[in-house]
Amino acid sequence: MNCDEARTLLAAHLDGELDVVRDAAVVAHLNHCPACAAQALAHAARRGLVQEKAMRHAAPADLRAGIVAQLRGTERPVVRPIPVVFLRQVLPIAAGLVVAGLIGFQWGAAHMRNEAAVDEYTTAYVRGTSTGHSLDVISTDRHTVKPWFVGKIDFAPSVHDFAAQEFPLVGGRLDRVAGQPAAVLVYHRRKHVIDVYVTQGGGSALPAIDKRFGFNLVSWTQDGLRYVAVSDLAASELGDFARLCQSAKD
Amino acid sequence: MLPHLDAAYNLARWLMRNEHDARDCVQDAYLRAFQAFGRFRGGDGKPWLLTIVRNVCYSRLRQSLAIEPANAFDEELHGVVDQSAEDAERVRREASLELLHQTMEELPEAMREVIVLHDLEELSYKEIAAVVGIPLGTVMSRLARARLRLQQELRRRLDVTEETKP
Repeated sequence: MNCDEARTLLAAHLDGELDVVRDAAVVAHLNHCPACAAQALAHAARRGLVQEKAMRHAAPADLRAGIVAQLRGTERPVVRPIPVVFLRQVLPIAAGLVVAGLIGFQWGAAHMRNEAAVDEYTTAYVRGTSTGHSLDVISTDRHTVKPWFVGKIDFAPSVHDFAAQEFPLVGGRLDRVAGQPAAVLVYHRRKHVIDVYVTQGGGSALPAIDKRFGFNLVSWTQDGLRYVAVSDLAASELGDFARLCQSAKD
Repeated sequence: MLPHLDAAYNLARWLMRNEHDARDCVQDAYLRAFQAFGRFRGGDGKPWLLTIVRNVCYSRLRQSLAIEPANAFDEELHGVVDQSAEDAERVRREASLELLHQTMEELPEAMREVIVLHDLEELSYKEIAAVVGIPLGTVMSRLARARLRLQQELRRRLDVTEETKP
């Protein structure tokens, strides 16, 4: 590697953005070229300039409230219908290739319903956590939370506290997702919130694990009820939580 | 809880250069993001959200004033520019926060935004390429160039201050 090549890559090298091979070549060059090594120091100083001087503007405190108020007044995004253009294009093809066309179309439609259902859960989660209306019943005691749902919904979700495993139960609320009443169990993990939506199932199938807008979603079926856990927690931790729920016994 | 609110505001504040417009843009961007959940294709939400913030900011900037074309300064610096490490260190030591803010705000948008996205918001080159809509190689050269330009502008201002001292 010559000096010109090395210098165009210096900034990327310091930012840790080079692939292993080119990075090694830059390092090898710097080891025997004092002029380029001096340039690397200059780069490092320029790079540190902005990073160390606390130049990040923090959002004003009332901005959050303003946005939440605005979102609250907004309709939840509707389930996307299959666009007309899509139908126009797909139908003639299906007529020609009946079997292949039908399979493809059904797969596509099912896929869209899946995505719409996933959106409903993440949207419910964001509305719950951002509007402050996340809890109708506040209790860490499952013997308080579980009976609270009696008479409000016609099924009994399985409720457990996992404080010992550092997923404490904090309460529950009623919500509606995918057109069905849902019992929502709310748990905490450090500063993260986990919503578990319990519904009678039916409707669109959901992928077991999904990720949307930075939120993770894990779903499973237990005793004929559908459980969907949604959180901004890392996928692996949410997976641990879901396993914990599935293994808990009444 | 709103995800990435500080990041969204920081980018908007640096692009719009005043609090009022930055707030408007962030509000608008969250509304759009909220309505567009369905088009989000997984992955990390932060670059996705920042893309929306950036689009909102640029469409406002275009309404009010001409934006300097980004290509102009991607071209200008293909040669190797030397700056001594001592010089760079001196600027880093002596530049006040106020001077730094002022100088950053006077950089062209295209340079300012890559510095904000990388050095403040800690996005990777790849994420910046997606947010800004430029090739990866351009991110690399533009960022290096933007930092150099910032440094040179700061040094010029420090030198001017020095000369005017009695």
